[in-house]
Amino acid sequence: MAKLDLITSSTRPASPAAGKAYFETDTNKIIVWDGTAWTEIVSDNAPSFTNTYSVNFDGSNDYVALASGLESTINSASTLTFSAWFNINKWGSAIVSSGNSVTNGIWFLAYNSSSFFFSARNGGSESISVNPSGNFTLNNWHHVCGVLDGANSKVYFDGSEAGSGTLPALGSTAGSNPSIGSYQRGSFFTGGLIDEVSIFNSALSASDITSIYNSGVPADLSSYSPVGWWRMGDNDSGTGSTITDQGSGSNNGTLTNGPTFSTTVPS
Amino acid sequence: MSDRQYVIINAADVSTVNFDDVLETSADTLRYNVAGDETFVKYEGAKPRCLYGKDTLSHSAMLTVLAGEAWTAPEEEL
Repeated sequence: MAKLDLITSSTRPASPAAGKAYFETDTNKIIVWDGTAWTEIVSDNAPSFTNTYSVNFDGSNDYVALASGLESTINSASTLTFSAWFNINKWGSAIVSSGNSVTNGIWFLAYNSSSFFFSARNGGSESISVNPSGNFTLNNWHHVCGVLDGANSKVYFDGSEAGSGTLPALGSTAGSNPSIGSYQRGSFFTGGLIDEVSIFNSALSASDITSIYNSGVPADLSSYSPVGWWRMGDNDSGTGSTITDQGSGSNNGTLTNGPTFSTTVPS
Repeated sequence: MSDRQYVIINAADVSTVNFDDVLETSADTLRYNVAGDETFVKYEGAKPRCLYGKDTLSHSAMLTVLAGEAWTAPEEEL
């Protein structure tokens, strides 16, 4: 009986013969080299990615405070990407933010029905304003990605580019007060649900974001090596007051002022 | 959130709040009105003893209050 050679995801051979197959012991995937790229097959008993929980914010004063260690990722950054799923029930909901003033920080704010702002500021007032118009409805799940990349900065809504512009490199304290569900922990408190928030210390491509959007179903982000990935209850069993960071930064979130776990998730 | 009750209190009374009995994390995480002389706390279940004698608001009523200019500064134009 023929057996597949065993490897791990970090020891994939550079140029095997076309058609050569392996079994990856760390991912439980069967991988096949087609001569130019790997095709991955998840085995039946492999642990698959699941998303069970989100966090529900009451819109009054609650938020998730992210650990201050995240500040070093955001401070002075010139390229950055964040991704989040949200299902809000009121305007004036900040999905993610950091900073300490209106001219210092980075945030994504669902301001009103015609103005969503992806802002990155270093002494100025720069924003990419997006009018989601018919593409957005309250009380439904949507996905947003903000890509900070100088003159190539972009906002993606539900997997598609929705706006672009020039945003500055961030200042040395732009990462202060990092939070999910509020603007700098002091206003624009989110009403509704937020799920699967992540941050990357690079500018992800349009194709990356298409994959992350995954036709409206949150996907496993580990292959994109997020610096921060807060699964909003998953990996924490939907209990307690800590959101364990599944990214490389180990910057856990703390439920602050009473947000709760929900089993309503994007699907 | 519909079972939550909200109580507006004077800023000077924050020291009387038992944060084990309300949903707010601590005095340091409270949200204040624009004037800075009022804040609020919320609870579920029985009314905490530290809030006895104070009026309660429903979730929707509290959000209406917070949307007013006394709690949301008009200059919050981002």
